[in-house]
Amino acid sequence: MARDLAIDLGTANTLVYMKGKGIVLNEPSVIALNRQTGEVLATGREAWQMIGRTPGYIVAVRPLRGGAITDFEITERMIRLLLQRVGVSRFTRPKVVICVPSAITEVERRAVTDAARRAGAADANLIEQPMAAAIGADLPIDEPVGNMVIDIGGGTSETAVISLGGIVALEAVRVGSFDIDAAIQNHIRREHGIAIGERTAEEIKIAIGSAAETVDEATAEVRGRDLMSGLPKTVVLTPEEIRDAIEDPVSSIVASVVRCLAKAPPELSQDFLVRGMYLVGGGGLLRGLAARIERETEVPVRMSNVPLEAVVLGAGHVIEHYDALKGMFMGVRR
Amino acid sequence: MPLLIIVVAIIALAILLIIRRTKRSDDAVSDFRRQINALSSDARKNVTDRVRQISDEVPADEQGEPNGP
Repeated sequence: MARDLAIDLGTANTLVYMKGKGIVLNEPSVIALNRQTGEVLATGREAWQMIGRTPGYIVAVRPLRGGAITDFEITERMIRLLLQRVGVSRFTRPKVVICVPSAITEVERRAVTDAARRAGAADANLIEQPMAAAIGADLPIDEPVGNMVIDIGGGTSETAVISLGGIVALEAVRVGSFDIDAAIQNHIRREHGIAIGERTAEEIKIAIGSAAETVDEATAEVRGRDLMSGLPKTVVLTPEEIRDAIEDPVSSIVASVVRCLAKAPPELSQDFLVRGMYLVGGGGLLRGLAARIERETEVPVRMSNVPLEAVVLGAGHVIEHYDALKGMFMGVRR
Repeated sequence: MPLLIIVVAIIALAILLIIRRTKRSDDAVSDFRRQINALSSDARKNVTDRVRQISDEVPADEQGEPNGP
């Protein structure tokens, strides 16, 4: 008998929770393929290490962008391989709950459930990421009080107000930490004439990226290819210039939080001032982001204990109480 | 006689409809209660214990990078 699964199919990472066991897989959402034969050469961590370092006939791709499936066939193959790795076969077909961005279209919704069913799931249901994050972050969403969750992922940022087990207000933008990486890449190309890969851009963001001024700021040295000469070149980057470079995506995220606050009913708004907002998702780890949101909204922001796992743990709770919580699936609610 | 049968049938149908309607609203109430109960902190204890276990295992400053391992 197959154990039911909860999957956080993120733009950046895919996490799998197995009923009764906990998190059994946490890998980057990357697949490496042989361009000529179409064969899968690696998935997850192994494929992630190949990004930008493959010979011409190998391509390492992220099949999800902005929280949406950009390549249905590759996503299906990736899900199939991930499910195989956690023990799903054609004889053991589990029920699967998949976390998806709340703003996905009907077509995208169908693409995800079809991909999971074809990959071996007996039944596939979807749940909104902010709802799953609120459950996983242990917020009292069963009570008639306002709980606000900000989930910043690789491709999407979502803010939701949850009370009595349901979403009261929601705001989502297709901007996430990959857009911050892309902004860094563009800045270095434009201002320093150097081409860098997406992994280097990510490393710069982790090393010196920030959304607001922080106490311990340091510079970083970056090596890339000079666009004029084609030779390797080193430049020194300051936190201020990276802050300026990522201002656009960061301000889009902050603006969406403000819009969600404005949509919330006044009774619940009072609760946020006391209880604060909860920040989850890998993008929430950007230095100074919590402080920046706090400054612009005047509402306290708290970081979840497990920002990267909150969503899958929430979906895991749903799979543990499948019958009681099946009314929460997308498309089921009236 | 046929009139009596029709009247009885209509009354029986009405009673059936009322019972079904009441049952459905009771179902909705109990479904909502079950959902809220399943979201309570007691029900979530197993998952929250796992959350704590993860946060104890991984120090806050080493919780991985946003986009990769």
